[in-house]
Amino acid sequence: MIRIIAWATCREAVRSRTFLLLLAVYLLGVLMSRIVGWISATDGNIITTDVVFSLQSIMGVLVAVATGTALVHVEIQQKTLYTVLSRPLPRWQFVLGKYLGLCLALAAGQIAMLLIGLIYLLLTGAEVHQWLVVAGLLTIVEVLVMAAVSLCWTALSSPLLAAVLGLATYALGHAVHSLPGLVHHLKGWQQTIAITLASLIPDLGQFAFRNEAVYRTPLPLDDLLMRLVYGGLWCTLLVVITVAVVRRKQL
Amino acid sequence: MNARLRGIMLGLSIVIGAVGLVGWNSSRFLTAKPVIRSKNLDFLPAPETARVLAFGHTNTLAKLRWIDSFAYFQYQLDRKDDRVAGGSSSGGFTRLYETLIDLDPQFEPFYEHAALNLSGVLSQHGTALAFLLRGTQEIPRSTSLWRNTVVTLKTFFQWDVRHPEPFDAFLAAWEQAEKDPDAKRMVWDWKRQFGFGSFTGLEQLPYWLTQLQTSTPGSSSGDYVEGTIRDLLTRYGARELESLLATWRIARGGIPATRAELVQNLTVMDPLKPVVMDGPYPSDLSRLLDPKLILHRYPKGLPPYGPIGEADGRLMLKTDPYGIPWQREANKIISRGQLRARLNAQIGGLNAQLLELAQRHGSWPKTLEEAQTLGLNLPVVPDGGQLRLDDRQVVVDWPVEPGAPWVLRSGAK
Repeated sequence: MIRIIAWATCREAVRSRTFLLLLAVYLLGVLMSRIVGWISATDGNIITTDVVFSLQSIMGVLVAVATGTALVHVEIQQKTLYTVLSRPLPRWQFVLGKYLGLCLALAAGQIAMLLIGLIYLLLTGAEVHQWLVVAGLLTIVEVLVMAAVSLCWTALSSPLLAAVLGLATYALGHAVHSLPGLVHHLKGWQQTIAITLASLIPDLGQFAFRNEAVYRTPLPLDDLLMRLVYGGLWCTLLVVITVAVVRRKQL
Repeated sequence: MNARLRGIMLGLSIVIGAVGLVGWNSSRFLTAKPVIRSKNLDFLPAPETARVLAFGHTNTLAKLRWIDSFAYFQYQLDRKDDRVAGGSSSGGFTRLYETLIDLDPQFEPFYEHAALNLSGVLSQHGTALAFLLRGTQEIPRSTSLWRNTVVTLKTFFQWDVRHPEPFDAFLAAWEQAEKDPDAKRMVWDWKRQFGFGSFTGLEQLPYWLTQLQTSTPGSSSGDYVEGTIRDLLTRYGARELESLLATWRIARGGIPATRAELVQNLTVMDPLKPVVMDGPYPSDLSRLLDPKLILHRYPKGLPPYGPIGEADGRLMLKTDPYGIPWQREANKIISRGQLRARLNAQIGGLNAQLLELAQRHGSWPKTLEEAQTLGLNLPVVPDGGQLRLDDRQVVVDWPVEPGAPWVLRSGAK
């Protein structure tokens, strides 16, 4: 049953206008990225690579937040949710199927973006190497974590608020990455509170390897695995929270 | 009006409206005159704040901010006033590049532009040097940053003259950071040239002897290091012999050529000897091997890499490091071996020129005279050497000399 829901969700997400529109915006952004390189007083290759990989992350997160927050809401609005839940289907299977379907769609979109980006870089004469692929894969994990965040916020609030909270989590998730270097400015209980609050937010900086990959900085395998496990654990936790909330929800 | 017509009218009005607005927008570009952007820095967050605000896109943000700051460069060209708002006493450029480098420390142009702006536009050479040095730490493989740093140290801080040893150590650090053999050789070239200009003795010899140990005999690097050591020893040997020659001349009534010669040789001057206006000069350089003069010059014993040695308890004049006897021209000591080596070094370039001539004319010249008529520039050959064309290559024949070059690989002779 999970597989059926996941597959249906994936097809629905891939066919949605938001998904296709953001993919088109990404394509346009990639094509325009060379202009930034041209006006930079360098050969522009590194700058184009940076912009292309930033676009993959930003567009991916926008797609994840837009699609993730609308996912359950659309089902409720169109009353299709009641048809599904009237069957002998536990709610956790429904949530998990929805999330996995969303992940499939997002991963497909991300892989498409990564391929488009790499081909474009190749065509424009920029260096393409294996570390860029690793950076692209970690961005996919970042997007999947953001999808779980969006799903969780949707279960806890309205779709619009969930989208805003999702984007805020993205910003905070990257901000907390540099917090260890700044926390010494705080003392005593202030420091404790800051550390506690920061620890509640997924550290999305773990997936921003793109900033180093551009310079061919290698990522050790154990480090890569650690980041993947970190992303996987956050996805699991957030989906479990969503399941717990949806189970108690009066629909 | 039926629904279909209304649809067509609506569609038409959308098209007309869109075309009109696009045309209006395009006209702004068609009639635009180029404008040089010039503006002050209005947003300069501290590096830590900028990192938090970058949301994981530190590289992209740094580069976009950098591109936007080009207008500040223009502003500084016009006004040369680097003060910006904020609590820090540092200027705008310093704060800007500190932030940019903190966001993206691997981007080489940040360091180069920081140095260009601070040193070239605002003459803040110390701050520029600090950025360059940070660049060599962050990107040690960047040849361009090392080169810029060395040039800054030489041009604005005269390290090659004021602090030759730390400067030499810095060049050694650059050489160690370079992984590419060609880049390493470039550093050696710099080191060699600066060393010859700054050091009077053999201060650089230990460094080159270490390089010799690590290089393979017969390889291009090995030959280069050997050539450098020979060159170094030749310069040193010639200087030592010239100094001995001066002492020898002054002891025989010759006039000191420089104040230093006068000071160094006050004790050997004989006021009763008639003054010799030109010279006197020894008929043979071996006449310089006067034990008294040698003791005067080397009270603590003969230097191991010097031009004079000892065999069977007797002083002897070594050949030059190329194995050819030293030659005197007035009060100058000439190394014929070095002259030959320099000419040999030119032969490669000469052959490249010959190949170019052959490609241009479609055939190889038969004789050297013909090549010369076609435009080959032949150098003046010293020491009795003869240039000739050997098939498709210019070669030089030297008169055979009995000596052999100094053996360097197991220590100098």
